[in-house]
Amino acid sequence: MRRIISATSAEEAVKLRHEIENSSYLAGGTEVMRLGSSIDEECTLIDISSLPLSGITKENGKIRIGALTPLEDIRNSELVPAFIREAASFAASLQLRNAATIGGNFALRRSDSYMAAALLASGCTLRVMCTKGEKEKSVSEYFEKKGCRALILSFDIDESRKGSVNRIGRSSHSHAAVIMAESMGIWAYSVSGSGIAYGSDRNVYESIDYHSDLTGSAEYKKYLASVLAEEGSDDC
Amino acid sequence: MIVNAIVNGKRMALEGREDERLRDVLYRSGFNSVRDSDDAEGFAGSDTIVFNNRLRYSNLIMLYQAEGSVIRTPESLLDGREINDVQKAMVKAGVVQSAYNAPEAALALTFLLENNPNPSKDEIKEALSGIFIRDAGYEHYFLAVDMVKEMRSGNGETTIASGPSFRENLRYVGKPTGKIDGEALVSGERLFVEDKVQSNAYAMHVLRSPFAHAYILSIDTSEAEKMEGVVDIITAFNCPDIYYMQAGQGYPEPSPYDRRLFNRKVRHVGDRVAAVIAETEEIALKASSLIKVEYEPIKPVFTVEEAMEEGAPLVHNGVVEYASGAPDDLDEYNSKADERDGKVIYQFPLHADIRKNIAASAHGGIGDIEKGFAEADAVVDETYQTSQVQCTPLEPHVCYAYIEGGRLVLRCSTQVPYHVRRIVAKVCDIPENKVHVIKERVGGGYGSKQDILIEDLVGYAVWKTGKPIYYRNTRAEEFYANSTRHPMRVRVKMGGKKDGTITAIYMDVRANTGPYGNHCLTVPMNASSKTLPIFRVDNMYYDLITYYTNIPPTGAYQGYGAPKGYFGIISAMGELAFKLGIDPLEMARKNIVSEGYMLEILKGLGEGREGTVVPVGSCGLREALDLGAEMIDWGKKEESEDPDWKIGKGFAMIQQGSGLPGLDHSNAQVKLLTDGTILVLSGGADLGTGLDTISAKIAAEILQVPLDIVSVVSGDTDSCMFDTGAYASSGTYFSGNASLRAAEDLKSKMLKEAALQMGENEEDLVLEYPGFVKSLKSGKKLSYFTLSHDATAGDGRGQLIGTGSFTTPNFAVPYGAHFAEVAVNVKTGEIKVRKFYALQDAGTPINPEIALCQIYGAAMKSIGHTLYEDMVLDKDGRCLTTDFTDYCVPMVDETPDDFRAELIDVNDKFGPFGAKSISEIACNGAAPAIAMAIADATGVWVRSWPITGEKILKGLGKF
Repeated sequence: MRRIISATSAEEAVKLRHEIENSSYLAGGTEVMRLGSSIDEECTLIDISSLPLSGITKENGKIRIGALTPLEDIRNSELVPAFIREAASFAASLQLRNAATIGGNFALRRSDSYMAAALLASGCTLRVMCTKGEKEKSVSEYFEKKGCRALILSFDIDESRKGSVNRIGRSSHSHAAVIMAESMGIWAYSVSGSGIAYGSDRNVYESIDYHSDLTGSAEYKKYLASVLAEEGSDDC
Repeated sequence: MIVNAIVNGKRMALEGREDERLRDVLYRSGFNSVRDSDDAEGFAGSDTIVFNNRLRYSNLIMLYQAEGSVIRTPESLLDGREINDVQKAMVKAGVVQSAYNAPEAALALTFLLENNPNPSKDEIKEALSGIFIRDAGYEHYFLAVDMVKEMRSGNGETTIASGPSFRENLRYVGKPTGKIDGEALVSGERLFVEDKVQSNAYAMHVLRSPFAHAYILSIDTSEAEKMEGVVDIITAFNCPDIYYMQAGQGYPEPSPYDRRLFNRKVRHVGDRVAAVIAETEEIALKASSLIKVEYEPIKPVFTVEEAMEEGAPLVHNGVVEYASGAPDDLDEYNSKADERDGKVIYQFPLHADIRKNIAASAHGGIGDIEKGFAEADAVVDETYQTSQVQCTPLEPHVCYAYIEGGRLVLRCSTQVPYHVRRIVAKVCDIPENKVHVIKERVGGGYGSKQDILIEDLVGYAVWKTGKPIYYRNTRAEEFYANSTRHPMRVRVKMGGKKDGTITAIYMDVRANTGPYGNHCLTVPMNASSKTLPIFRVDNMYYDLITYYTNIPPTGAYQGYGAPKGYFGIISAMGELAFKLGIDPLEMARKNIVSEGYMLEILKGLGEGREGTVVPVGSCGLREALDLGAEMIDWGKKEESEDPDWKIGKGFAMIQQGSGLPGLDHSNAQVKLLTDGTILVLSGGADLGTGLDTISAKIAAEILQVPLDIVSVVSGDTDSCMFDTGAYASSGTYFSGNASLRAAEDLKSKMLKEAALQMGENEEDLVLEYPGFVKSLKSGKKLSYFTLSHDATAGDGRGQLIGTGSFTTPNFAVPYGAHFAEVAVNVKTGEIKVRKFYALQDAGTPINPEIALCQIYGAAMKSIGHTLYEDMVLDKDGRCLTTDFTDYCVPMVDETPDDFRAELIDVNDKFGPFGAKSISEIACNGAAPAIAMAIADATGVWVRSWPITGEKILKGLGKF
C-alpha cells in the first residue's frame, strides 16, 4: 500500500517533501493515479489537495490562479487571459480538466504539457513555498530549477496580458506534437519527446534537441515549430 | 479503511484500502454500472461519476479522498426500475448499443442538463469529451439531448423521430422502436461477464514473451509453485498436445491449426509463455515473476517484405499435416521441419508454404488482363499500405468459467458462442455436451470477439484444476496479445479510357497475418471479393498472399479485408481519373454494377472453396452515389477564407456482404408460452447491434402480437440451437431469417391447433393483432392465451413451438457510397473532416435508428483508422501504443462538422422483410473518400494509413 501523508499546511508539505527522499506532492491525482504514471508505487505521496490553494482572483492588476485550481476552472474563468484559458482546454477531457491542476501540470515539466508553453510565455510570477518560507519567483526561474521541491502556491499573471497559443497534435486527446505560445515578445515551445524552449527570440525553438516519437518525426516537429514561430504575432 | 460518503443521496461506509481506486470500491459496493475500460488511463469514461458536483474519473481518485464526499453514479438516475428521461431518449435515439459506458454517458448528459437546460452542440460535446464511444458514434447523442429538451418543455413526450420509417404495411419492422434490451443496458444492470463473477473465483495471470521470436529452452516454475495460493501453472511443457485455431469460423475452418495453448516457440512479444492460476491476482502476479524462462532468441520478421525475403527466418517451420487434400510430396516437405516449431494442420489446402512464411494464398480473375491494359489510354500502378489497427471494444476480452454438474460452464463476451463451445471442447479433449457457453451482453466486439482468444485457456485451466476462474485482458494486452486488423500492402494497377471506361484492374494483395494464421485467407480475400464485384469491368485479376511475421496477432475486424481493399482500389480509381483528367464520380458511375449483372469474378473468391457466380441482387448503389453527390454539392470547388486551408472532396462506392451464403447456418425456435406470449430462442449472438430486437420484431410481425410480449434468449448454447455466429455481417440475414422461419413454423402450428380447437378449417384462419386467431369464415376469435392453454392442458396436444433453420446460396449484398469534404492546412498539415455523408442501402432497415447509429459508429472507426489510429512497434517488435492516448482513437472532437447517415430504400428479395446487413460496410468508405478529398485539396495522394499531417507536408515538400 502506498504511504500517503496529508499536509495541513504548505509549510508542512514542503518540509515533508524535503525530509522524505522519494516523495511527491499529490494535487489533482491525474498523474499519480493514471496508468503508466511517472510516480512509482514506493513514492510517498504528500497530499496537498485540501490546502486552500484553489481559486482565481484579481488584485492590483494581477490575476492570481491558485496552484490547485483545476484546468476546467481556468478554462471557464473570465478573469484569466484568453491564451491561458485556451491552453487549459488542450486537456480535451472534461473529467481530466476537473481534476488536473495548473500547478501539477506545470510542475511536471512534461514536454507535451498543456500549460507549460503558455505560462512560460506569459511571464507570470510564481509564489512558492520553500523551506525558508514563501517566495516569489519568475516562471522561468522556477522552471529552470528542475529538482525544485518548493511547492507552487499560485501563478500571478498581468490581467492585461495578451498572447496566443497553438497546439498541433494528431487528435484532440493525443499527445501534442508541438505547442507554441507567444505573449508580448516571449516565445515558448513545448515539443513532444524533445523539450521546452522559451525566450525573447522567436527562433528559440531551434535550440531544442528534436527527437522522433509517436507524435511524429524530429524533422516534422522542427518544421512545425518553425511554422508556428511565423504564425505568432509579435506586435506587442 | 472505512470512508463515509454520500452516494446517490444516501450515507454510505465505503470500505477498502486507503489507496484503492474509488472505482473498484464503488463496483464492489454494488454500484456496478461504474466500469473500467482503460485500466485507469483516464480516457474512456466508463468509470465516470459525479464527485463533489464535478464529473470525474473514479479510477483517478483514491478511496481516502472520498471521505465526506458526495458521489453520484449512474444508479442515481433510476427511480425504482424506471430510467430517467435522458436514458429514455438515448434508447429511443438508438445510441444504446454495446452500452458498456452508456450509463456514464447518461450521467454526463443528465448532469449537463441539470446545470444547463438548453445546451448547445458544443456544450454537449464538452459533456461527452471524456467518454469514448466506439459503437454508435456521437451524432444521435445530440439528438437524444434535443429529445430531452422537448420532453421537459412539454408533456414528457418527444415528437422527434430517431430515424426514418420503412414499409407502411408493417408494425415494427422498419420502425424506430428502440432496442428491447435498451433500458436494461442504459440503466447499468448486471448484464456483463464481470457482473456474474462469484467471490470464490480464482485469478489467472499470463506470463508473456519479451521476445518477438524465440525458442523456449526451459521453464522453471518451482519457485512459483511453492507460493501459497498458487493452484497450477500451465506451460508448453505440460499443456495438451492439441493443435487448433482460435479464429471463430465455420468448421472446417479456412485457417490453419498452427498453435497449441502454449508453444515451445514464442512468435510475438506478448505470446503466451505460462498461465498461473492462483487464489488472487496479486499471488498470480507475484508467482509469475518467479518463473524462470530460458529463451533462444531468433531473428524476427515484421513486414511482408522481410517475410518474403530469400532466407528469411521462418515463423513456422514445423511439421505440416492436412485433414484433406494433402499434396503428394508432403513427406519431403516435412523433412525440413524443426520439431520445436510444432505443427501446422490444414483442414484443406490454403495454398500455403510455411517454408516461405506464406500462410495462405489465392489467385484468379476474369477476362484478359493484359489486353485490358493494352486498350487503356492511361494506367496507374500504385501501392497502398494499411496499418495495424485494433478494435478497442470498451469491454476487453473477459471470461468467467467454472464447473457445474460435471460440465464446464463459460460465461463469455463473444460473437461466436458455438465456436467457443467447439474449440474449448477440442482443447480440453472433451465432447461438446460437457461444455455450456453463455454469451453475456457484449461490451463491444467489432470482430475481435469472433476469435477465441482467452476462452480456450480459461476453459482448459478450469477443466484441469476444477477451480472457478475469472480472467480479463488488460488494455495493453488488448493491443499486443489480442487480434488486430491485418496490415496489408495493396498494389492496384488500373487502366482506363478517356471516356472513363475502366479496361482492367489488377490487385496484388500482400497481407501480414502476424504469428498465427487467424483468418489468414478470408481477410485478405475480402480485399478483393468485396471490392472487385462492385466494378462492371471485363478484365480483372487478383493475387493474394498472406505472410506470417512476428507482429502482434491479427484476426477479424469489422469489414475484414474490405476496408483495405477499398482504400487501394478507390484511391487507384481516383488517381486514374485525375490522370485522365476526368471526374472520378463520372468514372464510378460508368463502371459500377447494377441489378442483374452476372458476377463472374466471384468464382474464385469462395473463401477456400469454389465461389458461386450470382447476379447482382437488389442494389441501391447508383442512388447512393447520386444522393451523396447532391448533398455534398459534388463538382463545386470550396474555398476557405484562410488561404492556408485548402478544401477538397472525395467519395467511395462500397459494398460488403450479408453473411457467407453456402457457409453460414442459423437456427432459431419460437415458443408460444402458456399465457400466449412469445419466447424466441435465437442462436444468434447480439453484440449490442440489436439482433435480439430484430428477432423480436420479426416474430411480432409474423405472429401479429405487440412487441412487448416477445422476449428473446440468445447465444446460450444449452438453450438455443446452433448458429455460426455474429460475424461477416450475418446477423440480420442469417439469424434474422432463422427467426423468421421459426416464427412462420410456429404460425403454421398455431393455425393447425386453432383449427382443431375452433372446429374450423385451417385455410379459413388468420392471425390477427394483438394475438388472436380469427376465422374469416365465421368471424370467431381465439385468443393466444386460450390456444396455448388448451394446447398445454392435461388433454392438450403439446406446447406449440416453431423451429427455423436458415442456409442459403443467395446473396443479399448491401451497397453504399461515402462522401467526404476535408480541409487541410498546407502549412501545418492539420486535417479537418468538414463533412461526411454515409449513404447506404441496407435493404429494409429493421431497426432504422440503430442502423443509423451503426453507420455513424463504423464510419467513425474508419475515420479513426484513416487519420489517427496506429499500432507502433519498436525495432524488437514491442508495441509502443498500449493505451488509448498513444494509440490515438477518435473522440467527440474528431466527429465531422456535418455528419449524416442516410438509408437508401431498397427492398431485398432474400433478406428477412427485405433486410440486408448494415454495419461492416460502413467501415469501407472513409479511407478512400478522405484520401481522395485530401488529394483534391492538396494534390498529394497519401497512400498509407494513417493519413497524417506529416505525410501530407512531406508530399508537399515542406521539409
